[in-house]
Amino acid sequence: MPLRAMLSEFGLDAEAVEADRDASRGLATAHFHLIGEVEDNRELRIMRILASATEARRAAAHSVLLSDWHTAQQMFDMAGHLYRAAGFPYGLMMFACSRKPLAQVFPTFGIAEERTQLAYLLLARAASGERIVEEMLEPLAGARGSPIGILGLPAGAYVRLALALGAPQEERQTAEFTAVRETLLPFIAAYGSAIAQARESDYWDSLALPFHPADPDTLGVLFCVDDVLRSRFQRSVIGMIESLPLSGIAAGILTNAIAEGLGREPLSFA
Amino acid sequence: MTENTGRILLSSIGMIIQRVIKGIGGLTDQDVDAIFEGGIPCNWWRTKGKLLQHLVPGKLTDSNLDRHRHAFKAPDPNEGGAPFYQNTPFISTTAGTMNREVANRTNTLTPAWRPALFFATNRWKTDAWLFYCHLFVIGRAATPMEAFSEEVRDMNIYPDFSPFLPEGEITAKLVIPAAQIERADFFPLADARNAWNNGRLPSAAKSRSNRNFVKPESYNNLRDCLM
Repeated sequence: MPLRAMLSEFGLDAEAVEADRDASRGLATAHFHLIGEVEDNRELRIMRILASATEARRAAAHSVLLSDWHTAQQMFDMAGHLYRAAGFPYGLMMFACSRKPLAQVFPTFGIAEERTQLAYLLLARAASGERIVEEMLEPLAGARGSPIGILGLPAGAYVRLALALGAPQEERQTAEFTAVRETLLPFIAAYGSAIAQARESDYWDSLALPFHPADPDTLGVLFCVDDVLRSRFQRSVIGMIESLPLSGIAAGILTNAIAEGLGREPLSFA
Repeated sequence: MTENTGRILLSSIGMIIQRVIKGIGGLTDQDVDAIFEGGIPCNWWRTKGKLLQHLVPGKLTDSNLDRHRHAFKAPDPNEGGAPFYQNTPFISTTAGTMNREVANRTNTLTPAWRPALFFATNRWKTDAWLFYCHLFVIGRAATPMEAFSEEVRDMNIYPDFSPFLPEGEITAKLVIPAAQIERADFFPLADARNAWNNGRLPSAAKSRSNRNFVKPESYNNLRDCLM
């Protein structure tokens, strides 16, 4: 069943989501058109870029709920380009969601001005099948506890996941698989908790909360993990999600969103 | 003072006249005329048909302000279990806000018109009016004081976590008097849709000035020179 058809079960109105998606998609373009007016003012330019990126990210997340992956990919891609233009490696999470090959995209990102942003570069590098070497971790040494992302997970959680994904291939694949699963758990737990809290809110049905049920940060991480699981273990992250403790609605949104993003039906864990 | 315990109480920095937007949907021109005459009353006033002045102190409390922000549709134990919003003494407005974008460790702007239009159109379902108003704020919490609005968007004054911070809310009390309403801009939903479908920001189809509005410069402490 497409995710869109499940929205009423989750207390969400697909038509309202679609109306807001259309507004955000249009406003993303409107803000984008205004960037050119302030080219010579760096601060204003960044503000306009982020206004456009924020609306594009919201339109993309809405489109995921609507099972409209054509628009979702367009909007995630737009957000990725905008964050990159503003100098934020966070854009890699948007490209992960747009299903753009990260191996091609992440070399186009420069050095992270803000050191916690390095976490996204490491994760994308690992998802691209590149090794993570010790020197890459040094700039993050004192910032691993700093919260990043909408869910406020510490940058260290991204580093641990990147290390698990980028670990050298050994014969003991079970241990590697377990390491990925363990390092993914904080992301899944934070997402599940955020869903539970959001559902208690009066604003759940209007999605007027900073946290979105199709949280692009979480989806970006899951797509990164899926890329590695497929190439190294011939498995999907969907099975991994299903094996972790998560409420029905949280699991339903994530597994369907990922399956639809990958363009196929969910796989079993076995 | 007891209800303010735990808040960061700032020393008085004087009164500020804060420009805000109040979005309302489903109004006719006659309704707008009525607002320009009588102001924008709170739902409690509208539900009861009059202002029950002797009950005001019991209404303007921190716990009710918190309900207004976070339990708007929940049963109100003080009103027979009716949804809180039916008898709220508060009026939500927005002045926009800078949001922390934690993912990028930067700040992003939510312009006031964005949440105002979203709620006024009933989430993009109806035409909307945006009323440009002036509220008085004092840089600290003063919930029982009718005259001053609450800057709930300011984390220095309201440090408790609120998921609704990005709305940039300034909360007025009981009524926004007509003298503090400058104008009303009309946004037909079809025009707004047409604008964003063509990659433009929505703009008002018409704007109506309120002849009862009193300009702030006529009552603030600026003493002009003799000419």
